[in-house]
Amino acid sequence: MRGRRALGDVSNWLALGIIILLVAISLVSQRNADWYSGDSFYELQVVWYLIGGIAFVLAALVELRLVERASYVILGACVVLLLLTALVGTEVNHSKRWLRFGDLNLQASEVAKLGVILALARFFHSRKERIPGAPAEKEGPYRLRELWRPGVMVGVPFLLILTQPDLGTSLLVMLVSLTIVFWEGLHRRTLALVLVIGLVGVPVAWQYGGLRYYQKKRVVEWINADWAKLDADSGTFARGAHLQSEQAVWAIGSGEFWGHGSRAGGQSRLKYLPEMHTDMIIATFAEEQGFIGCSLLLALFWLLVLWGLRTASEAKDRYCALLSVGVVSMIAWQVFINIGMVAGLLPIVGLPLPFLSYGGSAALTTMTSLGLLFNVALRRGRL
Amino acid sequence: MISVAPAELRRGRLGVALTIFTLLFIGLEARLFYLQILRGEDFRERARISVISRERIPARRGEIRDREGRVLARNVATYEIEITPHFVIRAGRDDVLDRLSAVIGLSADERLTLNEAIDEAVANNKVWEPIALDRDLVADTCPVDGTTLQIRDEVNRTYLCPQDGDVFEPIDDKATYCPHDRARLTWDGPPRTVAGCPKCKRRFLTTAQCPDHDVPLHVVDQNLECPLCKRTYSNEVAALQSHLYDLPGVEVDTDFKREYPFQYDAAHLIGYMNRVTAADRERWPDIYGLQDVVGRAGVERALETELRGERGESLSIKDARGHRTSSSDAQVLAGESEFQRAIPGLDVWLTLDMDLQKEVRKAFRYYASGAAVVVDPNTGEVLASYAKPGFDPNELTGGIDSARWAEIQENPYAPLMNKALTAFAPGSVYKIVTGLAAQVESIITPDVTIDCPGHYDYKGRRFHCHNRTGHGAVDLIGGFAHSCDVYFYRVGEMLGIDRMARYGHAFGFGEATGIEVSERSGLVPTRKWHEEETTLGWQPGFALSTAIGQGSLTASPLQVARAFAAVANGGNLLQMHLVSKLTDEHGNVVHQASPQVTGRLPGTAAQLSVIREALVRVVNDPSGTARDVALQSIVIAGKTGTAEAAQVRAGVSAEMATWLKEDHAWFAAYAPAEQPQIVVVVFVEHGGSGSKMAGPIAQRIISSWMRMGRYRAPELGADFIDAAPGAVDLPPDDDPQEAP
Repeated sequence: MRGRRALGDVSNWLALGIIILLVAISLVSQRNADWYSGDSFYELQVVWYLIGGIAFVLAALVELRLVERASYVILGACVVLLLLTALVGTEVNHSKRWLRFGDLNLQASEVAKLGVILALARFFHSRKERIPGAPAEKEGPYRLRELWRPGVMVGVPFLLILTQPDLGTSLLVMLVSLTIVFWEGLHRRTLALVLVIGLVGVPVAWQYGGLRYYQKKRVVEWINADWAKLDADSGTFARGAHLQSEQAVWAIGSGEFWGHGSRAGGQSRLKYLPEMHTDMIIATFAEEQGFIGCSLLLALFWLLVLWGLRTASEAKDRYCALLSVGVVSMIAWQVFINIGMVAGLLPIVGLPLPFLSYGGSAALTTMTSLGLLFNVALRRGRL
Repeated sequence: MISVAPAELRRGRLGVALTIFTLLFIGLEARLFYLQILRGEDFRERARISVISRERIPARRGEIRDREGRVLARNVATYEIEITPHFVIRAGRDDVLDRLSAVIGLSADERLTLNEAIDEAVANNKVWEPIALDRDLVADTCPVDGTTLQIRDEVNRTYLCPQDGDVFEPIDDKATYCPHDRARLTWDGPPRTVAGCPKCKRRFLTTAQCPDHDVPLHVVDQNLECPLCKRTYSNEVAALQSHLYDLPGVEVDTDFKREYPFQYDAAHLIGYMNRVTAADRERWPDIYGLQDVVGRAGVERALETELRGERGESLSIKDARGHRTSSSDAQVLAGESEFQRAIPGLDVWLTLDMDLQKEVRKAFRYYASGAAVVVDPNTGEVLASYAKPGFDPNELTGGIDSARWAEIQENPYAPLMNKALTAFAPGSVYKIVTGLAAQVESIITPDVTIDCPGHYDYKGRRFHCHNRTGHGAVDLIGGFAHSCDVYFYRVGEMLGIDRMARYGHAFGFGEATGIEVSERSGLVPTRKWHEEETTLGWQPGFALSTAIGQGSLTASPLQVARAFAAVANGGNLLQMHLVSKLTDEHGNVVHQASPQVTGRLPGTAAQLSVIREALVRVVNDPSGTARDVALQSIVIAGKTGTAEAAQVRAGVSAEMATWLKEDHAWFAAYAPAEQPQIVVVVFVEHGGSGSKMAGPIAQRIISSWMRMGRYRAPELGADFIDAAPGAVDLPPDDDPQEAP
């Protein structure tokens, strides 16, 4: 009865439509980026989303109980992959992020995001609802000392990703985990303590943490960024006075309301935008599609988040709810951090934009995650 | 169903999460609104500007030529390779250096030096500052002997756009595939002229006409041979230009360097170039960049505005690798095509005859310091003008080190001074003024004699004649022939200084000669001037000194030449000129100078002919002061001058002191005495006697002139001058006060 209601719920099908639309936007953007740069990522992206589509369907249909059982195993597998990456990974641009299987490159950190979400969901679920009907092991909000096990579950992959180095993804893992923990509820004192640790931790990490020179440089550049600078005498820029991040901001700005149109972006065309296919794709997109296109894209993501949160709040059990929260926050934080950094709101950290950025592991992870979320949405309230 | 938490708690969490995520999205939306709507236009403009590079296209400076068309100042194209480390590092430093080495043949050492320079730039955080490669590129002249290189065979021919350096390759209009990678070509339009290869991005042309700028292209070949020394070259500039696509961060800068083939012959008149000063940039605003050079002396300075042309500007779009995109891209992205051709400067043709100029220089071989001027008395054209010592304009133009500059500056013979245009005491050559004035003012008639005892007592002071034993009774012609000072003392006393000054000005003394380059006009003293400027105030004896060209009177050799030209041509005072015409790049005459009569000498033709007769006697009378100057082949008329100019300067060598003690030697002459064709004025600074030192130089110049066949036998009825009044005037020298 309830299942039929869920199946009949328009919002689920709307969400499916949004997902398909986002995939379509991704493919068009990749195609245009290929046209600018002369690469051929589009075909690969098509293949990845075909595989991703299958993963989505499988994840949407799989019995979530099985997934719950396998959660720790999945996290364990992810950690093993991360360790393997650290040992035998392929180094590109001074960071070891990829595991090479023949022609395929697996980015373990992408998969690990989902692994951490699953494991946390299982942990918090088991703490409070081990046996159906029986009194739970735990009631009410958590104190810090009760969180050491999830701390390890998050901490190990976090450190492994941080040392690749991949600051963006490791911060994302931390943010998503915190979102799940906050959703689950923290004791008031613990909350204060976490905030204090955060406030103290940032300068300490800046000084003594394993931040690379370029990572610090990006933050300094961001703080010192002056997007409006223009030579008063000549009205032009000194050669070399502009950074790539500035070029990206100008590219976004130059889109104005309607955008230049597909394949007409000047900055993209002149290859001033680095990482045009991956982290910086929003700059190309914004230059081409303008404010209207960007707003539409943001609206799509926001609707997805809305739907995800609703799914979470109406999930049939704690595991499903936390899984949904994790997936939703993963998408939302990633969108915020990626667009925020390209648009100059945040310092540059390497983080792809869900759907739009090129990346096989990312595509698979996103599609599987959303498949699980859809699974939850389809079965919500049914038990 | 197991309730996990109370419904309201769940709803509370949902609310918080929704609020937080919605706020994040609103933040992004607000940022996009700021960037794209509020600042959109700014950023669009900024993005546009950031990819546009404006490049100055240097204008070819006009050449300076003599009257026969021999080049006195020319431009040599120079090429400089600049490397911007930033792009080189990004594109893989070793790859770029390897390719560069292969194209222009860098030696291992040069490559190492370049590598170190890049290291240093990285270390000092100066990766955006281009490094100039210290290397002379062969362009189209042989580096050994300067001969224009010739094409040995026509393979590897490319076209180079002179305006922005785009490279094209020639192709047959029936071609379908790119010869480099066999990709199918895309042709523009039905008349097949321009083709592009979509794969290698090369552009092909069927004609040597630039499709973007509509100018003829330079044909560059990579198999060049020097016809003189038979060395072969690959045209490195062309090779480099066509490889720039593979060489990110490498640029070829084209410029012109000024070269003076006749470096010591007419350096003062031609001038030289050096870096602009703040004063130059103030005077001609918005013309010069900080690194530009500007004419500094002589014609280079005086005709700077005509010579320099107008620089052009090209607007090109550079992609992130630092390379120009095709101009169709530029049009689309820039939304404009701001392309301005450079306008070459005008070629300046001088009236100088370099053959004669060389002879003048030879005639001065044994003299330390002085000047000579040869002018045409009928047109006012300066045929030769030499000042000694000279300097090498190439040395000054190339950027001179301070020690050498100080050496030139401190040379006591003042090599930078154009002595032909600088005023000195003229001595007895000035007596033509006194002689004519005395006749016109009816003070004497030519046959009145004055007794010369060797001195003249005037107001308690004894004025000596140069011949202390006296000349006896002398008339006007004798006064000239023997250069009797007593005769002119007497005449000068009767004339008075102010009347003499009037005549001096009528002869062009104390006035600008009108020559295009900057000059010093000298001084003709008056009583008033003496009262104001002389320490002792007015002394009556000053009139006597002035009468024989001494005292405070000064005149430049060119002014003396102008006065003698007036005497020679029958009384027309002419404007002296050095520039005969200006021509544009196609050889069209833009401006043609013509003789200008600025005044007439006072007096009747008979009175002038007495002076002319007297000047003939100076040279041709057996007892004339310049009897040794006379030539068999031509009748010379002239006047010697020995101006007392002994100086005492502190702290000079004994040799210098001896030199400074001597008088200035002058000799002014014209030839032939009837219907004269040249006026020669020789001035030897501290040379001594005019007849012994200056005379022989003038004689040698005139005999060289004869030997060179410049003498034209007079035609019947030929007039002295055919200048029509109101003829077109040359643009006035806009900087007459500037010292060279």
